[in-house]
Amino acid sequence: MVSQNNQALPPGYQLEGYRIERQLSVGGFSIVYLAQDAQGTPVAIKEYLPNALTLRGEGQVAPVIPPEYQAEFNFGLKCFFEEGRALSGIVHPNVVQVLNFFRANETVYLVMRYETGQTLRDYIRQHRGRMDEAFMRGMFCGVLDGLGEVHGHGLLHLDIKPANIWLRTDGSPVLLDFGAARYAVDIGPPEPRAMYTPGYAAPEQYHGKYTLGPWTDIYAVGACIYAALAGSAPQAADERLVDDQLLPARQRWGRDYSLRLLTTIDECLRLDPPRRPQHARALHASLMADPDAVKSRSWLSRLGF
Amino acid sequence: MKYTIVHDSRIGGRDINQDRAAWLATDDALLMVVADGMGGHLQGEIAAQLAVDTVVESFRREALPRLADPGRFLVAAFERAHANILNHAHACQIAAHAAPRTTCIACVVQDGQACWAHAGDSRLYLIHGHAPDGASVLRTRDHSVVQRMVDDGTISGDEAASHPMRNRVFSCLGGSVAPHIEVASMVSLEDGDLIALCTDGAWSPLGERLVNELACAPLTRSVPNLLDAAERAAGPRADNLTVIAMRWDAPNPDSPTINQRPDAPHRLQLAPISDEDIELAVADIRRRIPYTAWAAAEEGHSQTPAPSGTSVPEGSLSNALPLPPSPSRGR
Repeated sequence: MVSQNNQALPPGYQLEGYRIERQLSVGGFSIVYLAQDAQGTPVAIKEYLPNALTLRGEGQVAPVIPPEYQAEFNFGLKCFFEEGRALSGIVHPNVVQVLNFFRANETVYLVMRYETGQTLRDYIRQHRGRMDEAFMRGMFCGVLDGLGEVHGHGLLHLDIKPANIWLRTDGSPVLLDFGAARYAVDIGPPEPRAMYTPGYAAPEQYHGKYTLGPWTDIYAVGACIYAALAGSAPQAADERLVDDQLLPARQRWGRDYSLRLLTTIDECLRLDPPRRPQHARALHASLMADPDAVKSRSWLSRLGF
Repeated sequence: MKYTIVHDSRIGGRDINQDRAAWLATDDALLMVVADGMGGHLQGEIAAQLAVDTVVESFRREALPRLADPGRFLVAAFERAHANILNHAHACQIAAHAAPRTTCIACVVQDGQACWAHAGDSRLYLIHGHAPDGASVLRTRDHSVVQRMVDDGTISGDEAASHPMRNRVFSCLGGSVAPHIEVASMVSLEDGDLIALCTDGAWSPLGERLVNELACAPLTRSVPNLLDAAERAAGPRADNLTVIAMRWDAPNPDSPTINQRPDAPHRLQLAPISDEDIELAVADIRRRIPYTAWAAAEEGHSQTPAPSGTSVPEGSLSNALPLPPSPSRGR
């Protein structure tokens, strides 16, 4: 059987000043490694390596790019540069920190701070259906602080989902993976977006009736909170546009979480962009608004009704 | 209908892009619309968004596939947009004097004729013939204080470009005063005619050069060139810049419509990345990485301190979250 997958760089491989430890994850356009810098500090290194366009066989280092794919490889490279450019200017505790960017092995590498923890996706899997409201509020406020900073730089993330939110061991979140990020400009007729994740992508990412804006990321944040409570992603927005089966959070968990939190989720998940909270700050305020949140949790539900 | 449309929008030197634009077409009618949300008022970008959405939505509803009367359509759509922005401001409890506002320029092409309407200082240019000698240019008159002064002979065109009041408009959508919506009569288009809709960020730094920039090359090249030139001329504090440009081709029912986005991947095949481009991009990114990031990395890290110079908004729990307890929950 012939494997078309690119080979990851082997453990121990010396890449500029970094020593590759192991592969952390692999995506359609890149491989992420855990590595150590010269001081032994762990870092995450993202290698641009589009699976469909390049081939790096066993024992090879530089990928082979067939000439007919060179233009597409270059286009992806530009997107990778965009990600680097987007992230490198942002210094915020809730946004992944770029440490270095360099060229090697006929491709390019983005070095990021690595911190121990896990993704929100894994956290949700472990705590399926048992999320603490105070934790959720605080954690998502951190996500929104980071997102507000991203928007302040004129950028949209456009792929916020539990797998792209890293929880440090102290529970504070870090926004990861700006591979889909773009400057907050969008004009023209409907055009399918290259990258989105069903369930978290807003309706305007599927069709061009509304332009993309901070409200597009807000939808995704709402979907993440919904997913955290539900244990799985909400119905995809394109399906909702045809036949909206999404049970509002208020109906689904009316007795288990505060009305304030549930209302906020439902507001974020509105199909109509102008009816969602328009800015990260507005949503942040909405999440922090009710100090007595847990009061409305019915005593009946605690008894298991 | 056969035409080529190229559009592009840039953020310039600003934190957010308050320009919005859209175009769409049926078999018989084409709509282009550009709005420039006004800074200094709350939510200018939302006003621009609502304006574009309303005009586009009206077109979707009424162009089936033709508009009965493009001029009336545009006026009604602008009035609807104005009302929608006011309703939004009301719903958000924004006081009238601070309400979101936007300029708007929209153009409909149908039966080989163009018709447009505008409020504010976003412009439409109709360029006929070839620059620099043979071109005749029609453009909208800005609803601005300086345009009035130029018309009165109080100041010259050159003085207008640097006049302190150059950003003041007397008509816009949203806001407490009903907009002055100016509609042009139908103009017949000829083969090769160009129509460009643009915000002041694009036209203001270039002045009369805009027409030459636009007409001297195919739109796929001239539109990015025009924006490059305007951005360069405006300097680091450049306003948001947006252009939709359309080249009309004399009707030929056999040939397909060509629509191109300037950032579509296939265009990049024409302009491959050179080795030098890659080096420049890498160097640019490395320059942006703050020194604090390097320093923090070298110290080693067990914790992530908030880097100095970065404010953590109040209410942020980002660095001080307790690990969550696991509440029991039953149903």
